[in-house]
Amino acid sequence: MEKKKKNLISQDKKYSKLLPCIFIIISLILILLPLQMPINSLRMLLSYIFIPQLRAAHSITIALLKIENSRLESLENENKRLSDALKLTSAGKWQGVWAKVAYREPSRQGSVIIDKGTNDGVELRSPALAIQEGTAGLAGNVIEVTANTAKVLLLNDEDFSAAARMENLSLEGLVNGNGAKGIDLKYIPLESKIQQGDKIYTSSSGALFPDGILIGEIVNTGYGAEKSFDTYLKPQVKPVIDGGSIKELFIMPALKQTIKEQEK
Amino acid sequence: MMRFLNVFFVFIAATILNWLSIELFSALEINIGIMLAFSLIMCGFLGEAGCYGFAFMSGLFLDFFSDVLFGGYALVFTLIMFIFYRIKDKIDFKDIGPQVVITAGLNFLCIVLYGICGLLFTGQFLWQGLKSFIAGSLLTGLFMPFIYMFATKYLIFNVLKNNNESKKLF
Repeated sequence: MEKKKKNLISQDKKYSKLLPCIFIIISLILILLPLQMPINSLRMLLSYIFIPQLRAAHSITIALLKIENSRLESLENENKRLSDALKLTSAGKWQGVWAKVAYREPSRQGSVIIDKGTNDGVELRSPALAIQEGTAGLAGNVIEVTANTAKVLLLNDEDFSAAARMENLSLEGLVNGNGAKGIDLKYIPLESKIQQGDKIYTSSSGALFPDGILIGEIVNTGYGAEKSFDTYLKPQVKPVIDGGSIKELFIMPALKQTIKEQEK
Repeated sequence: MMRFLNVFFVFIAATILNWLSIELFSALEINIGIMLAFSLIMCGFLGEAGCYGFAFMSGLFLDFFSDVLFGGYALVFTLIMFIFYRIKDKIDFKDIGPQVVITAGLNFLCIVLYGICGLLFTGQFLWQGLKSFIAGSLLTGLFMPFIYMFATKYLIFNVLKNNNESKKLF
């Protein structure tokens, strides 16, 4: 019995001498295996589960990052728009001030309030331009003005109208806002030869806008749709500026002729 | 089984104390070797298998919370325990003097070995800083008598204290 016990103890000692080697080998295997990434993930998961402050901080961080992300996106878009705008002003073609859309009336989508007023040189009936997709076009005109704000009637509003001329033609007509449908071009004679894609510009004969501001292009000539009693064509025009997505407006000084009329 | 439960209880207590020491001393950039201290203490109450097992697990615990070289501390702790197990019968580890000196010395060695381990496996010496090397090791040595007293009084129960014949883990 005693001998058996001694044998067992000596066997135990033999195995015990192997133990450090076994643990060292296991450690070396752990070092050599690419375990750092899964361990880091597990550690983060455990920290996330067991530390509520971390969880709360994490959700706050996510929310803040989302806000920051949307802010950066907005700044990026604004940067793009303003870069386009800079091209317009640096070309020296138009003179005026840039204004941001400060407010939109929920009940009336055809007008916007801008953050510039008489203090910045904005006048009543000042033409308003905008740039979309790199193209400058007519956006509307100022109908109310205060010291620091102004109301701009957009060209898709039903109350809006402007004298217009066809590209490369001596034809002149009148554009009218038509709400969601865009704008209509009126008073184009039946016998005139207009084509789809023809561009429409402002005409100086209206005394409200300077000549040559792009309004839009004809998407439907109206040939064949005229009725027997019609004396004019009713072409449909797609405006170059979408009133619903305007963020900045370029406000030009009102024509002197218009101001004189006002004074009278 | 009761022995194992007691060892597990000591391990959990050691991890909590280790966390507390990190909370207290991390601002000073000092790393106290609580897990090493507990491994040395447990060596006196466990057999060779339990001794290496506890040290290995303690090292693995530190590896889990380390950003580099998973398995490095496990290797170093096993090596340290190999050395300690060879000398422990020649010293009176229950005495305060040897406790302070041996623990501080082994903590120095632990930091150096871990650095070398990093040099071998990652290509850069994993240096914990001179402050941690000197102050951390000295403080570990100085805290050792208190940790030993606390562990033997409140953490290590009679199942471990009395059963010294076989010193088996289970």
